[in-house]
Amino acid sequence: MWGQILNKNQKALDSANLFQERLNNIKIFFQNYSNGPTVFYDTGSLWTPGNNTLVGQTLNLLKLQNIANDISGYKQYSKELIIQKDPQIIITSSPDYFYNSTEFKNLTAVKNKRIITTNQELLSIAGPRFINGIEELGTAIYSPIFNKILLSNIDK
Amino acid sequence: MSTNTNIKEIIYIKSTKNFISIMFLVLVLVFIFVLSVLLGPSKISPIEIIRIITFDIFTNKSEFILSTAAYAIIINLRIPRSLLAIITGIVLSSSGSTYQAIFKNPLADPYLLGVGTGAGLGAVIGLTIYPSNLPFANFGAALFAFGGGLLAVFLTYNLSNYSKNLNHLSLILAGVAITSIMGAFTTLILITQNPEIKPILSWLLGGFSLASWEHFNIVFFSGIPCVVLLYSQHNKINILNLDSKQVHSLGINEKKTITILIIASTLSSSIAVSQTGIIGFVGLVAPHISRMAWGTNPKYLIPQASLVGAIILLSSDILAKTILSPTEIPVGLITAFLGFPFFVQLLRKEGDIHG
Repeated sequence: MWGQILNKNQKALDSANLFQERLNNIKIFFQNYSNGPTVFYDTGSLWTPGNNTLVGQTLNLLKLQNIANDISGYKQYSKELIIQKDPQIIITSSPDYFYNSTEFKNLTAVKNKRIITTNQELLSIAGPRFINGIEELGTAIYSPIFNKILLSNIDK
Repeated sequence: MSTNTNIKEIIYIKSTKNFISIMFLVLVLVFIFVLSVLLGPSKISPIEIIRIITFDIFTNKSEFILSTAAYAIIINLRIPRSLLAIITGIVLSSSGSTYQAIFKNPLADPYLLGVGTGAGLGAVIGLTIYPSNLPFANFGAALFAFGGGLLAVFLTYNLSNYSKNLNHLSLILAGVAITSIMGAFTTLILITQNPEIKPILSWLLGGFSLASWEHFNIVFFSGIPCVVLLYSQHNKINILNLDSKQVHSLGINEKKTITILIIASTLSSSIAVSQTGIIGFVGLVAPHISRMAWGTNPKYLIPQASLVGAIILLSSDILAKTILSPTEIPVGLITAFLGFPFFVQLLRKEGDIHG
């Protein structure tokens, strides 16, 4: 639609195709993978996306098991359940909160220092840059193997 | 002579009645506390819980127990959370009953006087300058909240004195004015300063979902001395119910006493607000319930109201953490839902709510 408004239909189409291609590459790559690590995606004060959100779907795409897959939409997740479900990876913009708290110090993610900070802004806007957010998250979690996909994407 | 013994007898019966009521409330509170440790979104069997707690108290803590999820949930989440709810209930209700006595106004409570929003504004300023993910942020927010709360009460009190005919209404009107100004400034800061908004929003909703020992310690060590101070002044609070001339004739410095009482109530309630967010209704309802049930003598009213407040808040929190599990609901929502019908019922029964 923006392409029509700006009279740049071809460019818009290209950009959409590229988006689709990059997405497909990731999909193909993960086809052979079974379940990846469990994650908790914190958007601040333990508010987290459920399964039916765009971010929830991104986690599914990357074969990450969202521990909050029992909620819908964005909700504040119970601290007790975070401890009980013990995610292997935590994605947050304030890692210090998890590192400094006594309650969370025995979480697998905290012990293994697998608390990941990504540019959450990319994953909060459903626009053309959303794919960058997916790739960034993928790289942060599956660093060496994921780079191959990125290389193949850059070629295009 | 017979009237003399009669009065003594009445006083004796009254104090026994009050004593029994306090014991009863303590028992109820203990029962609900046990319940709130047993209940939670994650299923842990009661036997497991008892084992963990006895381990924690009686034995050298083995590394194994310390590292289990159940241990972290019981010792580091449920117990501090329940204790925080209790202490917050005590603080809000005892300062509520004090405000009601010194302002001679049954509607006075930490929120209607603007302390809630004032403390809220202070805490938001604190969190904007010093974001919540840094260490000691809670402590900084508490200090700022106290500043904001004190400023709000001071402004409310002075504004109400501007009124030509000083009455109950002018205080509440002043409180409403200050509350809306403080609320407007809070919104202004949220809009213009772009702080990290999620933690602040979830804090404004109020609740114990993020409670930890750190929150409990801050509220406990600032709140308990204030509550003890308020209680130690119960005779003077009682006398303040009389008019100024009579108070003077009893040799009490009205201004000084009121100032001390206001500072103590404001300090404890604004620090509670800074750690738990804005939880309405408790500070207003708990003193009313106690007054209607057991009378107005501050000597008994303060402990009774505190216990009632703690019971209300703790039971509300049990609902908040369980009914929509795995999601948390702000506890302020529950207190409003629970408090409102109860309050209406009481109003209907007893038209006169003046303390």
